[in-house]
Amino acid sequence: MNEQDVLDRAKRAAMSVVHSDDAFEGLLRRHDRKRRNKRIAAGVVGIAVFVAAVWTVTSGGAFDRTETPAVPGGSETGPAGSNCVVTRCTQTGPTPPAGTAPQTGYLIDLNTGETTQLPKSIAGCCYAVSPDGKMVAYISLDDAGMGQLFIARLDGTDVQQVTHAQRWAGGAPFDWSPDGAAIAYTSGDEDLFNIFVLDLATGETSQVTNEKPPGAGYPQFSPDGASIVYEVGRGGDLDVRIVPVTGGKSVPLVGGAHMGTLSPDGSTLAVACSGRLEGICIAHADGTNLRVLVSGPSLFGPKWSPDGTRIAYGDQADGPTGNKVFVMDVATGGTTFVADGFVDDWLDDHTLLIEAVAR
Amino acid sequence: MEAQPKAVQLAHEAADTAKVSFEAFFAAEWARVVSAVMLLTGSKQEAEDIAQGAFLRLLERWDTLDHEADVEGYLFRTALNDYRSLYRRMKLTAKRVLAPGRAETDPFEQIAERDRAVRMLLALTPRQREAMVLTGIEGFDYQQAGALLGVKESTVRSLVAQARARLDKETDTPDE
Repeated sequence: MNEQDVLDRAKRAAMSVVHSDDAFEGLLRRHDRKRRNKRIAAGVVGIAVFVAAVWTVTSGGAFDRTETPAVPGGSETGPAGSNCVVTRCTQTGPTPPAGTAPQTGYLIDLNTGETTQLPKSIAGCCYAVSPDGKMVAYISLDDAGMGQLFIARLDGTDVQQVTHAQRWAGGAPFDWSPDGAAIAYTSGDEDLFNIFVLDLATGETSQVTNEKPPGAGYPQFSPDGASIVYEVGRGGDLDVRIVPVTGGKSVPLVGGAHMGTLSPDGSTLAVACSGRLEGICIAHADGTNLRVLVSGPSLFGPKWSPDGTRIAYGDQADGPTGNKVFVMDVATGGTTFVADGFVDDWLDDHTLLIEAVAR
Repeated sequence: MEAQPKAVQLAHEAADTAKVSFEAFFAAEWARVVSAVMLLTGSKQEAEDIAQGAFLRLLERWDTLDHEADVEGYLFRTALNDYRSLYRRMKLTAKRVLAPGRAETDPFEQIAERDRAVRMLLALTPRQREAMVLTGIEGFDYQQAGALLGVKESTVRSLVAQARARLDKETDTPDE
């Protein structure tokens, strides 16, 4: 088998499983759905403008911003027919669809190799551990099949759906603020995603980035909580930038890289390089002095251990559906294979939260 | 570039006559786009989703589209942008993880399991695979592929050379 044989055979294999039978009808259904959603969205905006205008006229003045809004959460409104504060929705809002997904997340102690399954009540995907190690944030689907953000205690109790957006609000990963009071997450539709911050106490959301399509993703708080490192699509490639948590002007850190995250002491940036350099790279916090720590085109998703001495990362060398988790000692550069699957987060300096799934 | 696909001929003809029916264009091009994206993602479901999104955007612009322009390029560029959108892939990932009951077994993943040629192609790096699929399978020249991928022509040449070297090395080893 020569190189052209490989390509021809691969193409034939791909063509052999493509069926066009009802593909066009499927496209038209999706087209209709999209047009209907646009009409509904336009209607909602129109009604909101009308109500606001009437309210302004009848109340005789500008909005009183000290007043509690009827539906907290800004654009991320509560479920239809409710006015719950998102962090109080556990009891009053819709029941989260937890338990409908297979439970693939588990903790692994790197010292002993002991593993512990996460409780079934927090079945989902893409977990992020709170700074105090007691809570997790994760994605689960709402009744409409949209990904929403949930939080729960690590023991599986106190499950709370914290986003109720009419669009996808579960773009993984997301990140807890260092004080545990907020979560930065990605939300949008298939054309454009941006970064939002959810205040867990009030349920209010604020938009942090305002990027052009395809938009921004992978938000990670700086250790002081004042800024967010994120990635942005530009010209078919990805760059890592940093923006104040209150929004405003972003600053480029590293071009041709993605999945950036600052070390716990804030001195070092780790990224997955995909440009001139390939692999897990580190740089100064301002993006200068970029260098490869572990080389390889299929490495991604660096995660600093809480003490900053190690970085967990993924390797997709076995193809798009095969993933392995490795841990690297930052001082020595030595790497250790941990498990098949995806690394989601560190629970503490020697415990990783892993998902044993193919993504 | 190799012989023009039927869909491109249809699009060009449309400039001279009445506008070609979108349905005819879709019928001619659907399998080609899905199979190409499938070789990038390794998943039939994901490929169909991405291809559908690309055709949907094309449909929305069909009446105002300059049919003399590069319709094929627009379609592939849209599909590739979607494929390269990490956020979209995360969304698909979450859906696959969270609602496995709704997803039937992916036949292409099964083929990839047993077909060495598919496995070898999927084992290339994403960038090498994109360059190989566009130039070696879909018949785009280096310049066109560079425009689709948003990189220089020389970068495509380099990626293809790397991919060929890797495939040659693999094909030197006996079949399983």
